[in-house]
Formats: sequence, C-alpha cells, structure tokens
Amino acid sequence: MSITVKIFATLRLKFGISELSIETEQEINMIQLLELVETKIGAEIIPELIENDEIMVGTILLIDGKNVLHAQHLKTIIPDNCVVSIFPPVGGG
Amino acid sequence: MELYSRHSSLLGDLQFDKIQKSSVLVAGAGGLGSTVLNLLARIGVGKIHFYEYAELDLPDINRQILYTSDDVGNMKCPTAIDALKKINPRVEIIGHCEKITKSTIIPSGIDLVFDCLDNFTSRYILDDLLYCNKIPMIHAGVSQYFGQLTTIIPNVTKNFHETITVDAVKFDAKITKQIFPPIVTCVASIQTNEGIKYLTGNKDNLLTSKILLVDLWSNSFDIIQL
Repeated sequence: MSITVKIFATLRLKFGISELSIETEQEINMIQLLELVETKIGAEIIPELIENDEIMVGTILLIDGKNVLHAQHLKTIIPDNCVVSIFPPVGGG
Repeated sequence: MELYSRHSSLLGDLQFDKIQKSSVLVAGAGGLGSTVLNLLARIGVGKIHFYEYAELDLPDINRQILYTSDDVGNMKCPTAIDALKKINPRVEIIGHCEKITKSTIIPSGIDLVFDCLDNFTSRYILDDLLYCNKIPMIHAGVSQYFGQLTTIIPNVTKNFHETITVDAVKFDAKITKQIFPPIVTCVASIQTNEGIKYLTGNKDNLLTSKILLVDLWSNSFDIIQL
C-alpha cells in the first residue's frame, strides 16, 4: 500500500515537512498511519493531533477529501493510493 | 464610466452589468471584511450590505484597512459606511450595526454572502440562515500566516458545517489572535475575486467542494478536493 500524506499550515511550519509517502504491506487505520508518519519524520506529531484518544479540536484529517469525523474517526481504514491531508483550520477574520 | 474604466472592459459589458445589478452581503467588517468591502465598492457592486457590531480597537489597525487610528474607540459600522461612501459614492452601502444571530432576517434579494466572521460559532449560525434560504456563501478564515477558502452553494455543495467540521465552542476558545496583515488582505482579495466569478456566472473554476489552503510563509497554495 502506498499513502501520500500532506501536512499544512502550523504543522508544516513546526515540523518542516509538507508531504511524505508511507509504504505499508498491511491494511492500517488513521492512528496507525499517524504512528508511521511519526516514525518517518522522527518527531512527535501525534501530540499535536490527538488528545485523550480523540482528534484534537482544531485538527482536520481528510482521506481523499473526506473528513474522518464523518467516518470512523481514528479507526477509519486508509485505502491504497489515497491522499491524507492534515491541517488545522483557521477561524479568524 | 471612467471610475470603472480599468476593469469594466476587461470583464465586458454583460458581466460588468451583472456586477452593477448585484446585491451582496458581507458578514463582518473586521480584517477580511475591510478588504472585501473596499474591493467590492471599488469594483462597483451595486448594493452592498454588511453586518458589524463591534468597536474599533487599536490592535485592529494592523489589518482592518477601512479604518485609521483616528477611528479607535468608534463603532466600526458607521465608520465603515463613511469610508466606503468616500471610496465610491455610486454604490449603495447598507450597514447593519448588529450581530448576526439565529433570529437575524437576511435582507431580501441578496445574491451572495461573504463570510468574513472571526469565529466558527457565528459561521455555523450564518451557514444555517443561508443554506435554508438557498443563498450561496464564500467562506474565508485566516490566522497567523495561513488562510482557507471554500465556496458553499446550496444544493450543489455540502453546507459549511459539513464541509469544515469542528467543535465550534471549543475551537473558538482556542483561536489565536496572532495574525500577520498580508495573509488577511491576500485571502480577502481571493475571496472577493471568487465572489465576482460567481456573480458574473463564471462558475467553472469556483472553489465548490474544494478547499483552498493558503500558506504565505511557504508561498504555497493548495486545493483539496472534498
């Protein structure tokens, strides 16, 4: 399986990375993907996204544009060849 | 008309006529709203409603380009009306000096709304008011060096709440007030341009079912298909 992960805004600024590719032979869900991302970038990104086993307020996780909040949250299965977008929406005006 | 001579021919008579006959509503006359209102008046949109209930604070001056330091302490709504009428007395400006709430009645005849609000709680209220009245909305949000835009059209796209889903109360409590002025004017300009495309019927390249993420710090513009 090949998964493209795109990181935006403050997360990009903090971790200095905008896009990476994750290869895995097993089917994985969102939290497992984030663990692989952490390993690959060598930095703790999960505490920026997850709090008490829930997606943190102010974090949006999209799989091919679909918000995992409208699926199985962190247990949402990641399809092959998809793009996962991680960004904190901004609310100021 | 000479006032519009630098862009009316670019658009063509038919499209410029649509702009002059359009009626829009700008929700919020703060950072985004200042630039959107300024541009809409200069472009020559026929009737411009806006909602704004706050006083001008000194830190607002870094990005709220309708106002000056002399205006600090004054209500933004009448100040904005005066400023816009000075920019272009030929367009009709209707300022509503009140907060948008669940009981707000959207003025009749509005073709398009620009979401220039500064919190998700108010945005979701506006979304509900507009979606049930089948009024489209150009959403924008900004913070730090970053911005996002999406275009919501009832019966074409999901509503705003489904498009960008957050726990509004918790999210609003965490909104940082740090904001770098260029991202505000940049995103508001794109928002205005998006609105003009909608009003003139150029709907092929709208941000419908897409979100544009702008990152001025890394010079990136990304569109995510939703």
